[in-house]
Amino acid sequence: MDPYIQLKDVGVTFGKDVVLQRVDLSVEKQGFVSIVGKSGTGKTTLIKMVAGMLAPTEGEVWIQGEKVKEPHHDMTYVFQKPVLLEWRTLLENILLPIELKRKPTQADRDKAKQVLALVELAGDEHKYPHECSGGMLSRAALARALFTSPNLLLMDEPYAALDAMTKELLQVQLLEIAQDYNPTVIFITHDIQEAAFLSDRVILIGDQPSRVMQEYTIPFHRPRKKTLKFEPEFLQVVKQIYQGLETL
Amino acid sequence: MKKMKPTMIYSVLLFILLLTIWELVVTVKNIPELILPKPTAIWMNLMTHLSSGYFLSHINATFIEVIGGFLIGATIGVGLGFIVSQSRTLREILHPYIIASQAMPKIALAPLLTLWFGYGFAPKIIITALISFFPLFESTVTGLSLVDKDKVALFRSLKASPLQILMKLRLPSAVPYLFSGLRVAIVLSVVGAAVSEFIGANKGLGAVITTGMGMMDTPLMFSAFILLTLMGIAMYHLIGLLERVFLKKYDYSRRDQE
Ligand SMILES: Nc1ncnc2c1ncn2[C@@H]1O[C@H](COP(=O)(O)OP(=O)(O)O)[C@@H](O)[C@H]1O
Ligand SMILES: [Mg+2]
Repeated sequence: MDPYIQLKDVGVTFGKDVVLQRVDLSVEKQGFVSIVGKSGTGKTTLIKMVAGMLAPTEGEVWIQGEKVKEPHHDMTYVFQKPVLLEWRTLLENILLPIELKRKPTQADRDKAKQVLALVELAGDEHKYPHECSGGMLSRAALARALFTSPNLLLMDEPYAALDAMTKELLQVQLLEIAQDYNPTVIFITHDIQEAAFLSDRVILIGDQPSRVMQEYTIPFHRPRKKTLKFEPEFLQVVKQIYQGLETL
Repeated sequence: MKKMKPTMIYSVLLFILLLTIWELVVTVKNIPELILPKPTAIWMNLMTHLSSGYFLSHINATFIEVIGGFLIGATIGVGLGFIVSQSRTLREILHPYIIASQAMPKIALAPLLTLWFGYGFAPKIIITALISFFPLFESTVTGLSLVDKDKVALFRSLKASPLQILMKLRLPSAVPYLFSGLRVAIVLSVVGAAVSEFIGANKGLGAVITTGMGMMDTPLMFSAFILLTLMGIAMYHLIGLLERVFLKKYDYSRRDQE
């Protein structure tokens, strides 16, 4: 069977800058893949191509056997920084994706409140973005992404701006959600421990121009518990990826 | 608010100090009232004419011109700004005209407009409308086109239609720009109305200034000038008030940082 997502010999050039070259990558349906690389290696560029928001200069991106030309209908993209509309409350922001399709119902509003509670924003639903901290905004953006239960979830360093505790909480929640309805996820991070904890596979990109350098299969079965992070086998895997990154 | 207080006291003290110096200089140097009246003389003049009701019809006339011109100019400015921002072709065709009409000294049209429309309100309202048109046209075009790239990307990723992007993203993003246009336009409107009254008017605070000049009544000129300034300030704050009511959801400070 064809993989769900496939990048075939993809290259991206901005002006004279070759950012990505000869990237081959595939993600199986309901797989959870993390992409790790240093800052400026082209991780955002890569995921934007999968999202259909950027066309590759060379090569092709395929999703479900179709060449990507525009954003996939069942995809949600979580931006590196929380992009919220400042004239809408958090609740109204969460409802935006639905609102673009149809008039939101009371059931939608109730569900949106549940999702907000999931990211610990219960009681904050009527606040405007400028009344919220950076962490709250990140969580709200995440809630908006999860609200529509997309089958393809593309996340660009969604937790990078969060404090350690919130990050941990959201990692566990993401695992639960992934367990729950099994979306296909591409998750970008520069946190190796996070990548290993969440994913089935971790892909290292790097070099000049960037390409796929290494691939690690994460051998721990699901559901995963928070305590996995302290187990020697887990730490061994993290160390291995870390060394891989160091040699780039 | 609390931090503002000492500075506000200093502002008032500075004002009193400046007036005192003015008063003293005029008294000591024996400057004739025709050249520069004392603040106390201006105050007396202002109070006398206010209590006699002399200023009432003039304030009224200027007010009608300011509001009428402002409303017409702002409406056309926003409307045309909206249309132009929707079509690149139209923008390019109209561009030279817009630059030309912006460079054009609109006040200089006052004699011509008086020739065409007579001595009534019409020429003054037209001038005021022309003057308030620009800030609003500009801020509408800017507001509708300068939308955060990331937000556009968000809407695209959610497969929003161009109409949805306009209604749910571009229009709301433009609102703060509109208000800054309104604030500029209202102040300019007062200037436009007053100056257009210099030419061919017997009513309005601008006309009072020319009358004062003819009668060599310099304190009267100052009184009208003060009333015009107060009118400008009041209008500015009125827009500020509307802005606060409308935009309480927007975050000014963050917007300024970006
Ligand atoms: N639209 C663009 N135009 C020009 N250069 C870009 C553009 N987007 C990204 N780049 C460049 O491509 C490189 C990779 O960027 P990015 O994908 O954001 O990296 P990462 O997400 O890994 O930090 C950077 O050097 C960046 O400056
Ligand atoms: Mg990035």
